[in-house]
Amino acid sequence: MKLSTQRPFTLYKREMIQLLVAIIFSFSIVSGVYIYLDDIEKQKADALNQQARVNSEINHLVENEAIVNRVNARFSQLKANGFYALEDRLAWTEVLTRVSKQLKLPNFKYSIAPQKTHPNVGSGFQSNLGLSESLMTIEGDLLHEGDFVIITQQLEALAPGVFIVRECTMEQDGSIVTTQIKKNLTLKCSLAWYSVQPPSNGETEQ
Amino acid sequence: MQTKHALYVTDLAIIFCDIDADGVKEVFSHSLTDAHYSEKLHAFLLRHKPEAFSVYLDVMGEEFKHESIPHIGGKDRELLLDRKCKSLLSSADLTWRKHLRREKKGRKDDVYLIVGLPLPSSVEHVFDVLIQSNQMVSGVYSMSILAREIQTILPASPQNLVVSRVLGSPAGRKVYRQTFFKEGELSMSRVTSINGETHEQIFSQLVSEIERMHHFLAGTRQINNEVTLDVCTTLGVHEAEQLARHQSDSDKVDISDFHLADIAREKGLKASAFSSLVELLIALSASKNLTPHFKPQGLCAPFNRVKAKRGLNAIAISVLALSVALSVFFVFTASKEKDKLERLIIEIAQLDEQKNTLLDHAPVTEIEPVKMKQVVDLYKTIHMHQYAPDDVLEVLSNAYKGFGDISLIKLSWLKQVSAGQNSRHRRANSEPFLNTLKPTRHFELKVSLPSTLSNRVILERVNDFSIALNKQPEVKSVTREKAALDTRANARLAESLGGGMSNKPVEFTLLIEIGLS
Repeated sequence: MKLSTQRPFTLYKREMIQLLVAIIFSFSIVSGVYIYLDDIEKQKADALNQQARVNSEINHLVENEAIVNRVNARFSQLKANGFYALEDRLAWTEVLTRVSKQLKLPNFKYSIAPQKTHPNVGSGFQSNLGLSESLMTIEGDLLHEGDFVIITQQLEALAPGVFIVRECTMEQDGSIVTTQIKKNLTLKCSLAWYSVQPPSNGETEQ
Repeated sequence: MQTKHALYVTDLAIIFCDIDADGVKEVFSHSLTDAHYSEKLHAFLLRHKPEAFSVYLDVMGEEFKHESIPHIGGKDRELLLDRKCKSLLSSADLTWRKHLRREKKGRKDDVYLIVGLPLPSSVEHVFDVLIQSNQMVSGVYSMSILAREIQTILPASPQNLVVSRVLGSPAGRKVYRQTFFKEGELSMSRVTSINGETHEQIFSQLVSEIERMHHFLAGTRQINNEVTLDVCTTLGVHEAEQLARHQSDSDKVDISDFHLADIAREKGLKASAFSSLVELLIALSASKNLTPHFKPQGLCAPFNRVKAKRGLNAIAISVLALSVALSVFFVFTASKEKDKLERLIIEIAQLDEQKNTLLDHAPVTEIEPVKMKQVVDLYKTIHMHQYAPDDVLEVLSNAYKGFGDISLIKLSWLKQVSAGQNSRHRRANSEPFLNTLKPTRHFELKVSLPSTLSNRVILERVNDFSIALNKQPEVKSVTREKAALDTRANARLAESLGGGMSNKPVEFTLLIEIGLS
């Protein structure tokens, strides 16, 4: 018996070339179609992102419109009231002077500490909202506790901003005298005044 | 069933058969004693052009060995078996081996049946013709090994002898094969040639040959002499009838006829009209696609080559088909996605239009609406925590009604201390502003009562005032912090009761927690 001595590649040259061509052709056609599909998928993903962005913008606009409708009037009041404005210390002093004269308060004095900013308002608020705080200390002798009420009411009604009674002591000074004008109460009070500073260069208008 | 082909080769003849559902049909036969058999075979093959066929060898001189080898696996076992075949069957041109069992004792060796087949020169010439004419030979079968296929349907006996006829014997001569099975395993097979003209001469000699075989097996201790040797003759109907007239003289030999039709039925063959066991076994191997026993490299190379080429072509076609299917799927998916993309682009255009309309009608504000809302919310929150004097004094005056004998000496708004301010490790301004605003505030109220009242009355009045304060909805709690008169068990109680008693009022400090928000 004679054995074949041909090498495998020589024996199967045609079939291997056919297989190679089939593989290359298949790879090319599948790659081409896949690249086409991938391109469409990418375009679709981009379009979906764009749709989501435009939807978000529309929602934002609708939400903003609703907010404006709801709070615009109140915001305008606050702006007029001086809460959303630069701090007007002179107005505070004018009110204090006027009420002191009105109530004829002896030894009434005030002091206002330098303004400080709260960089972190809290959860749900912008960090750069511009909240400022100024501590006003008032001291004086009062005829009765109603004077203190009038002072704070006048400040609240006429002075710009809003305050919180930070710390206060109202103490009876001896026995109450009703025959002559004499101080009956000693008052020492710290009022923290708050205002939101508008941005200096103005923000983007809508 | 597709027609298959077989080339049956004996020491004396070659027979080419077509195999189909009807059985085996002889299409060419020639004696190997004729000097021109190779040319005639070549001419027949050129004329008949069989696509592929198997070769069935039914020749003399086969050797059978049962060999134990150590239980090893993989390549080492194959190498060891190759060495065994070469050393035990050095004259064999073709060898076949089959694992039979594993010993249960000792080294637990593996027991192999090794069959060696020396090719007569006439058969080698036939193979040369097949090689030279590039015939596609799928493999070579040995008829003695193929006889194992019917072993399972032989009568249950520890020692069976199957007698079958070898085809292609010339006139005046008959050739028979006797295949011995011991304990269900092929043990040996030999070919017997009988010269004779009449049935009487032939079958009397055949019985004698069977008896000689019995003597041989007994002499070589391959059979148990105490047990009868079951001889199963697998001859045609006519031959079986003739043989039935002759019986062995030995009581240890029991000759019985085994009908070919029964074997064919048992083996599930559709055809049943077989004239010899050889035909039946050829049909069986073709229908069951039995693995060839030998695949000589030179002889089977064209078939293997064509098979490999077909395999490569099939792979190429499969790759193409798969790629086309995949491409169609991708194109289909891409077309669906493109439709969706186009719809999406239209939707985006509509949304853009809607957005532009909203932008055109959007109210113009000084700052962004979200910030506006935050400013308003912040104002509300601060205002809610103002604790202005009018609000606080109103709560206290409501509680004070009916307590004119109690003097209010001092009222203090205590400074709110947040958790963050208490922490040493936190920076002063790091705490969010809103966290410094607490829902309730603490007030310190200093009251006094005239000492002219008895201690019991004083305590009752202070308690009543505390209760009145507590009744106010805005008051969360009232605790007595400092007291000139403290009757609690854990407090120190002292008073000078002698002369010179002062009229100093009795003072109490109440800590009041108020929540106005």
